[in-house]
Amino acid sequence: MNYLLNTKNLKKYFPVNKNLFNKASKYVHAVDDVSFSVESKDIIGIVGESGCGKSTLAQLIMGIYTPTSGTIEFEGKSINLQNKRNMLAYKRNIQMVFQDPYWSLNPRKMAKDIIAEPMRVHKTVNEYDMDSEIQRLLNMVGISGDRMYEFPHEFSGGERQRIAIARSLSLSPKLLILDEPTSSIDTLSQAGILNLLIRIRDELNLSYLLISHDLSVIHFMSNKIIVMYLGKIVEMGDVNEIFNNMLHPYTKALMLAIPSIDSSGNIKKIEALEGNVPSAINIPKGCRFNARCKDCMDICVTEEPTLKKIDKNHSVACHLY
Amino acid sequence: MVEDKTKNNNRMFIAVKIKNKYNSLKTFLKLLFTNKLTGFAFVVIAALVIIAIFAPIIAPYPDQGLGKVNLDEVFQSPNAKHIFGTDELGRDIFSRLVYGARISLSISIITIVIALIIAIPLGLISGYYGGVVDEIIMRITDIFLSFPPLLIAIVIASFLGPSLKNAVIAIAIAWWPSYARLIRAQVISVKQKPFISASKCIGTSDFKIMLSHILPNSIAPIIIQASMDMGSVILTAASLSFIGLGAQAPEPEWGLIISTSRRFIIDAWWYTVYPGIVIFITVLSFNLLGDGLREVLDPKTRVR
Repeated sequence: MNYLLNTKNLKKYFPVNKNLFNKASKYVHAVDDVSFSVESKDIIGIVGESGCGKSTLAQLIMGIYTPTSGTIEFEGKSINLQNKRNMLAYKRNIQMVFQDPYWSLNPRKMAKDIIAEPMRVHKTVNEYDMDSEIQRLLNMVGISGDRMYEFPHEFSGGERQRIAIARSLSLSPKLLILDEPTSSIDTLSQAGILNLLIRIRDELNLSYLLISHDLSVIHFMSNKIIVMYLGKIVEMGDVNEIFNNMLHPYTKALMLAIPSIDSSGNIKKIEALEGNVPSAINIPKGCRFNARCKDCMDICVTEEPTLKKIDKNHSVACHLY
Repeated sequence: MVEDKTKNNNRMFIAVKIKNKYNSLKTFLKLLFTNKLTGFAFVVIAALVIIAIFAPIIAPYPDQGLGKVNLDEVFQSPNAKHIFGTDELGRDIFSRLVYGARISLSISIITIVIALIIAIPLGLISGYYGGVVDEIIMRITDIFLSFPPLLIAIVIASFLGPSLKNAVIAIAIAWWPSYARLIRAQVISVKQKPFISASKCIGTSDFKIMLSHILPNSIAPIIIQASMDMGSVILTAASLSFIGLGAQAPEPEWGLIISTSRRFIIDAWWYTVYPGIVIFITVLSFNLLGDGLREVLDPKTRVR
């Protein structure tokens, strides 16, 4: 199988209380042993509560953080994060769109300069062709090309996110990481951006890694889902398989928490999961979900479940199966 | 054909850039004058700058302003010929104060520029990289900050020898640590913004990130602090001159004028009072301007 991106046993522990004199004795287990792969044209949705390590995972893949252990392979080649030239070549293939469109664009730069930055750093386009290239990118994301001289505060939230998308597309990457791209935008602009993302994927043959805590967005966009809890993958598989036959109690809880209205106007009852995510510093023994799980058994308190393949396209980490 | 188009585009780009700059300058001035006190301070400082530049034209007795003795008219009280009176050597005090504006303004600008040249790179590096580098730089600033700046300036000035140039160096050395701290704090808050992560994702070098993303977004409080400090620097320079470690006679430095006048304060009140008022108004104006800039440069008060 030809994978675009492949992570193997990726771990990131952040030291706590570390300073000049003390070595860290405790660690935040932000991402703990995560392995998955992305095929070309995949849209993989990553879901989980706040603090489950989704964004850290994205930043690990982007090379902003160096992993504590584990490897990232891109198109079959392992990425050496220390080698600057390799990293630059790698970053040309993989770009990221951030959650907050208000702060992901430098407020003191014009749209033109914001979109031009990647092309200037990587020297993919010379200055003579820069303007027409920027106009092409702006038109692609649905913004008029003459607005390239405007500053971020002159655009609306949705338009800013479009500019951020245009910036990430300027290097023609193969994989785009979308870190909650619609969570701070109003619903109508949200729909516009999701449609835009789907259109761009079809035009440019992109793959997406879509991080979100909104399962309806993930259902709409993705073809595969990864459910994360406290830095670990608890369930993973094809989107239809998971939505029709969810196995892990945590996935079920996430599903029950989606508010929705059916066509006759009835509001579905929502159920919130009891308790909070345990601290990522003192990881509970056994299954990480045991304290909040309705089906907790004796084995769950003592032994940590591993990710088991249930079906061809479905794996789950739970002692129930 | 294509080149023509890009040329045209470039020209348009420059035109838009100039227009943007002009518009932002216009709104800036408009905002500055919405607060009457700030407007007043701005006018006073603009007037001072003009006076300093055109001192030889404005001063009625330019040669006396530079120190030429005129023993025929010693200790004249303020009159039509000498509106601020004359000093113990018969020099026109108004002319001396006009020339003094040159010295005081250049001292404060040069001092603050030197202090910023030291502080900005150190603050940027310290805030951006953190860790051991940060610890070292910040402990050095702590050492400086644990003494009052005037005391450090006195020690350095007496070590280097009394002169105006050394006073500038001494004050700059005493002043940079507070700027370095301010910049560091600002850098730390700006570097956590997603647009810095975005630049890192792109692969922009650390140097470029600091220069084109972090610095422009953290400079506003420094401009405010610097404009407020202009007054304090003038005061410190005047203090150094007053105790004999700054400007040397016959330079028309304001602090030095007050220092010499102190012996004659009972017989010639005008000799002390007018330089005092000038220093007072200048320092006050810089402080008011700094306060006003804080409001103008705060993005929340900006019209969206």
